[in-house]
Amino acid sequence: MTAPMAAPLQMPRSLDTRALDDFAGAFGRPGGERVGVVALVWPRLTALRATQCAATVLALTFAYGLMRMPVQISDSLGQLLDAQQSASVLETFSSWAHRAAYLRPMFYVDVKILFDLANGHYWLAYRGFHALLACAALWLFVRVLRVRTWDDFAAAIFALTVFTGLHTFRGLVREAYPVSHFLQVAVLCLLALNLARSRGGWLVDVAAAITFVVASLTIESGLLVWVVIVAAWACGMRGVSRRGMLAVTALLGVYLWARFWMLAVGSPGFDQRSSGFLLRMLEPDEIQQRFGAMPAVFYAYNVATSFLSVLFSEPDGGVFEAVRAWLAGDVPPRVYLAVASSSLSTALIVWAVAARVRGGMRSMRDESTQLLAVSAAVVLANAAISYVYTKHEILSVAGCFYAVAAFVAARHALERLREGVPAAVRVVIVVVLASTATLWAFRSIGVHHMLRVEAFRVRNDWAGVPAEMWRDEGSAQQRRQAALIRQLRQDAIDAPGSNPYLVPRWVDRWWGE
Amino acid sequence: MPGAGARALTIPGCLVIAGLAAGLLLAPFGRHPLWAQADLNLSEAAAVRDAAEIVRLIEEQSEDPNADREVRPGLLADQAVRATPLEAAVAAKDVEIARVLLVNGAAMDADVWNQLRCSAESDEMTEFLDRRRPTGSVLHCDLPSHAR
Repeated sequence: MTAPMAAPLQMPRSLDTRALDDFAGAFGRPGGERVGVVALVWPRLTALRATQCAATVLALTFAYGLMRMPVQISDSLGQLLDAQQSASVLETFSSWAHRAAYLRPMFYVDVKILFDLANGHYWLAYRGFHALLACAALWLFVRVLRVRTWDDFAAAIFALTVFTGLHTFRGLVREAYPVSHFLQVAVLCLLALNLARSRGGWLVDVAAAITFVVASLTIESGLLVWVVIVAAWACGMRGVSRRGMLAVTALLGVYLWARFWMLAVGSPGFDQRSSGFLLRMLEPDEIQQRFGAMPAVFYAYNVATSFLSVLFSEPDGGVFEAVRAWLAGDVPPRVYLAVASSSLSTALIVWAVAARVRGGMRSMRDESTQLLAVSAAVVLANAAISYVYTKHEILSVAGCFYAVAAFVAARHALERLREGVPAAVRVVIVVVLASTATLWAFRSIGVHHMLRVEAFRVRNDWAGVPAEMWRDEGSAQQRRQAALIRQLRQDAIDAPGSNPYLVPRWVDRWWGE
Repeated sequence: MPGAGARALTIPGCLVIAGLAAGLLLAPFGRHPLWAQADLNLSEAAAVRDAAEIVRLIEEQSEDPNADREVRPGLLADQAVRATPLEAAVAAKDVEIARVLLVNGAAMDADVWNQLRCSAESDEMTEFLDRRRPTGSVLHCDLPSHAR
């Protein structure tokens, strides 16, 4: 951000102007370029540092919000009681490696490790880890962007609002079971992309392999780490070498063999969870009744709606919320906000992709093309993984990479502006950019409101726990369990609460769920 | 014009981030705008469905779950009103809050039940109260409600 150079001062010859010249020169750079106001205040501020500062503020804000949330009851208390019962991390790994339908031993190992490390400070351990993961996700995302110029900074700020404003991100910060394994996998996928864009070496290859193993054994969407690594290698990113890519592929083969043959875990049936279809949620027995004879139709619907959900924020969880709300006669503004912002950014992405296709995609070494290709591969693969049922959290990795594509698209738009397009086109581009950025910035505030609502809900859930669950009586094991529940309940009751019923109603209409 | 594009992209996001940064600076003083805490009494906590605050006030501050208190304007009515926590829960139509109060010591004799039952406006609350009808109570709704 520089200003044009001003004309030098003209002083009478009789005065010694050397001091003035020195003073004026202090604000110049070699070549006569004059620095802007920002650089006067912070001479060492670069576009990268400014982006990192912005990401740090966002990370700290999310960390603060997450630390205001107690450990939740649903899908968490059972895991904590199991961790308390388990004698060791190895026992936990072994017992969860043999469960039907799901192969997620690393997830339960995470819970056990944190439980043992917590030493009674469960809220601090689990929410602290959740906050660290959120910070890591933002840091790794910014690192992927490789901001160099102030145009990159502009695109990065926009991409950060997309990253945090997308509905798929909400699931990452809203819930933790008690570890947010979806957030963990998102972090690992971003790490994989960073490894692919690194300078390489055998350590990077080893790190890529470890990343895949941890991710794939945490939750099924962890397999997307393989997609990232292979897609990145196919596009010309050589941070992970050919050997490393083949090693990760071999590990994928081992995983599939272990899952479907050695351990015979299989895969979840579509009749195990509720899932959205057209205008409402279907319960498992309804799904079985409708699609039992033709599951491929249901699977295809889930894949298609998952893909559309990332691009347009609609449908949501397989349900066409906008249509349903319109038929009910009340479309909350948050629906318009979500669909409009996503549609505009998707249009920018399509424009960037079309430009590259028109240009012949001559060289996959173009960094922007590489990022677009990897992002597309991950979004498609993530949608495919969602074939059994749709859910925000399952698409969280796709959401992260959609934000990467949004960065590329924004940068492409700025490049076009610099190239000399007709004035009318320039005005249109600027108006579209301003509208899109404003909508996303406004939308991204909503996740903080959601965190507040969730913290309130979790706190209230603990208040409703029956006294029989935390009464100090019964066997030694029951007393230990009761003590754990008492501790968690007390942590929740003592947590400072922020009541969403005290905010104006319009807040929920714009930012609620 | 090229600068205008970058500014168009940057300004909205930077404004949000600046606002969040300001919130973080206020947080140590308990004034984060997104996480503001209100100092509620027991009846107000019931009015705004804050079950955890109800439990905290009863368990840690030994608040009387049967006493009436002033509920600030905007929570139950446009003006301040006096209400017991149970009355506030019924006015807020929240069955779970009523249940939490009863579990934590709120008493409901025949007179209190009758008053609450007459002021209940939702079917869910009506059914809840009917299931907990004290023995010998008679429903007659000609008495004024304190919660109005």
